[in-house]
Amino acid sequence: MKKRNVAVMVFAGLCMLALSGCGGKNAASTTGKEEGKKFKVGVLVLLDNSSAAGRSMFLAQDTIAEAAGIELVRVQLGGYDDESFVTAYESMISQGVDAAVVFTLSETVLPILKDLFEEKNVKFFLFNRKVSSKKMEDMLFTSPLCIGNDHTNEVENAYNMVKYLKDTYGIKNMAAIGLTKGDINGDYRDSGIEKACADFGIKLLTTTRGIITTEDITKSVDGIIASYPELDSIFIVGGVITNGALAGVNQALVNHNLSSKVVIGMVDISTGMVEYMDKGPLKLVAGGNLLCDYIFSLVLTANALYGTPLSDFPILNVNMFWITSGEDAANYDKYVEGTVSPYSAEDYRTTMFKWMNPGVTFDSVQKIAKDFSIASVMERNRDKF
Amino acid sequence: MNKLTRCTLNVMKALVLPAALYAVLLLLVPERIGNWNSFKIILGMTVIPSIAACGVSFGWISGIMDFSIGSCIIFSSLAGAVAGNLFGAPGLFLGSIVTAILLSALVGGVFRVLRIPSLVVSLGMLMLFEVAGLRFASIIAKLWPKMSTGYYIRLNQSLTFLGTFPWNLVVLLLTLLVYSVVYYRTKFSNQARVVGSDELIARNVGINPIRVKFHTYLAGAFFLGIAAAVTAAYSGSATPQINMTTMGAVFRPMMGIVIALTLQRFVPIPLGIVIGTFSMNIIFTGIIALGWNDDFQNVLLGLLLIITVSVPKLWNDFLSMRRRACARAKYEEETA
Repeated sequence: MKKRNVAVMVFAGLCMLALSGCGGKNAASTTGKEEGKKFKVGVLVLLDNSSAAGRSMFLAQDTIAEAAGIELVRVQLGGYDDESFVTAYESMISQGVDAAVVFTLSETVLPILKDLFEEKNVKFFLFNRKVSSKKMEDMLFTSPLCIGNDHTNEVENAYNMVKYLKDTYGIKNMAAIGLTKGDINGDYRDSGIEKACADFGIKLLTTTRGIITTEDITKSVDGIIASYPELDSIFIVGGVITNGALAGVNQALVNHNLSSKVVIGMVDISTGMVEYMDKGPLKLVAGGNLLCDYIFSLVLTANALYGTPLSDFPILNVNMFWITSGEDAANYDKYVEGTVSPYSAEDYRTTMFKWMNPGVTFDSVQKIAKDFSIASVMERNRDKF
Repeated sequence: MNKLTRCTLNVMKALVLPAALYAVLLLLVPERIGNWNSFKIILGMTVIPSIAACGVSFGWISGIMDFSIGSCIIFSSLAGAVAGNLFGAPGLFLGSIVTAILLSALVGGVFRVLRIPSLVVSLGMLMLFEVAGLRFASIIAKLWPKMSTGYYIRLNQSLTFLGTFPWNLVVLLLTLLVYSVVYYRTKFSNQARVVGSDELIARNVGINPIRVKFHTYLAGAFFLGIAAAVTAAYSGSATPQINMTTMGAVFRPMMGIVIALTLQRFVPIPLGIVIGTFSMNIIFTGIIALGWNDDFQNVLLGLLLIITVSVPKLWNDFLSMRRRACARAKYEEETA
């Protein structure tokens, strides 16, 4: 009987210790710096490190984490539906993050995420997507926990891409292979394409969406070729389908001996660009913004966590890398997605972290983001290869 | 009417569906569709779903719902592409067929051992195969970086001719020949039909339904393997998919089968499959040619499925109702 009482008391004591530990964790996370603990930042993994693109993102994130003295909590995305995004962020929160860099494909899930972060008192930074409606913007950006937003001007970028294809290759009849409807960036790109086609007298023959497999893509291009013999250009709107898309589109053109007649413009980086640009129909790729997004969202988040936000509510514009030749593609692969981080830890400390260098401003970081290009990375890192 | 005339007439009846669809398109967009090149492309697009439909048919007639077929084709095309790059065309076909048989044996084995509904088994296996496919592509990327990007596996360009006209049609014809023999001339296929019609009767006449269903998985896998090989050749690559996106791949072959079964009073099943999938591709191409929203494609395909299945049934119901009415009228006349 005595033994049992002792055991009950020990168990109760352990429970209390455990509970007090849980309570302490929250307090530690808000004052993590003072107690010598690192801030934890949740990062959604869209590409794992089995690919060059994924590895370059991991490398850039790790360099920032090392420079800023923060701890990254990486959570792999299980799927592209809203539920998978919520699950991923819930997982981050359960691992005690102080802030999370947030990405979603559709906007419908953003209010749910905002509530989730507010409920758990976790700061969040929206990256890669521009919120499309004013109402949504007001709802999100007024949250005291929302740190900021970065995105590419997708409409303008798509518009300029079509203009480039028109000016350089004289395209007249274009087909677009798009993202699933509801993807915000896909919708922006579509509107940029439509505007450019209208402005430059290009006929947008057809738009195909919701493609899943490479077979679907090849079949879609087959269908387009069967229906529109005048086709002279294909715009791959990109996103999650891009890796298979380029191979599928290229194969369809090869199958019908149209590789020399039809040119391809594409948003988002894909593997095999060098080959398709040198010998195939691929003439323009704009992408790599995800890498820029990861870099600058973490930079702005770190500044906010250390109590030196770069502005009241920073909204940063990031570039896409433009690749127009096989040489560009090879340089992109070597320097941007290579084995050396585009910016060193020292670069971050001296030019992007305000708590380390009080001279850093939002405008100076915006300028760095604007100047981020293949050429600038080559110039900085040439001697490291 | 001699046999040849009757056969010709029946084939013409079966061809009414694609001919009508094509005629409608010719009326609406003659300049886009009315040429040999368009026709050739539509015909080429029929090959893969037709071969896949052969694979789906055995399960379908025996009452199995297998949604893992798309993931099985994709995984097999990944394996086939690797084998093709290493051993050429024989490697492509053998790699795809052997993988498809192994995967289907796994699905069938789980179904046979656990005795749970085939729908549940197939959904579970679909998820496993999708993730396994993704892992497979990344493993290949580490072993042979030139072959796989980690996201898709490239097929050697010298093998892609198998996915293009007219070689894809040659593959289709040979496959249909084998399929006809298996479908019409094997004991197992007849047993599968009996099991699909009434499992209880099948059991009473000494057929083991579970064993027969397991065999349908294996027989179907052979054709799925061929579909996988042609898919890799057609796209020049094979891309793994996750999040159950491969599930959609089963619907077109399934609709091809449904149309073929509806048309079987006029033409043999293999020809019905080709007519069914060809008709669907006419719609698919037509939507692009008309510049319609591609969301509309699924609406039209769904409608086509319902119409194709319901019209013959309604017509039969109408005929039997009229027969009954005539018989009743005759009976009343006699009794009066």
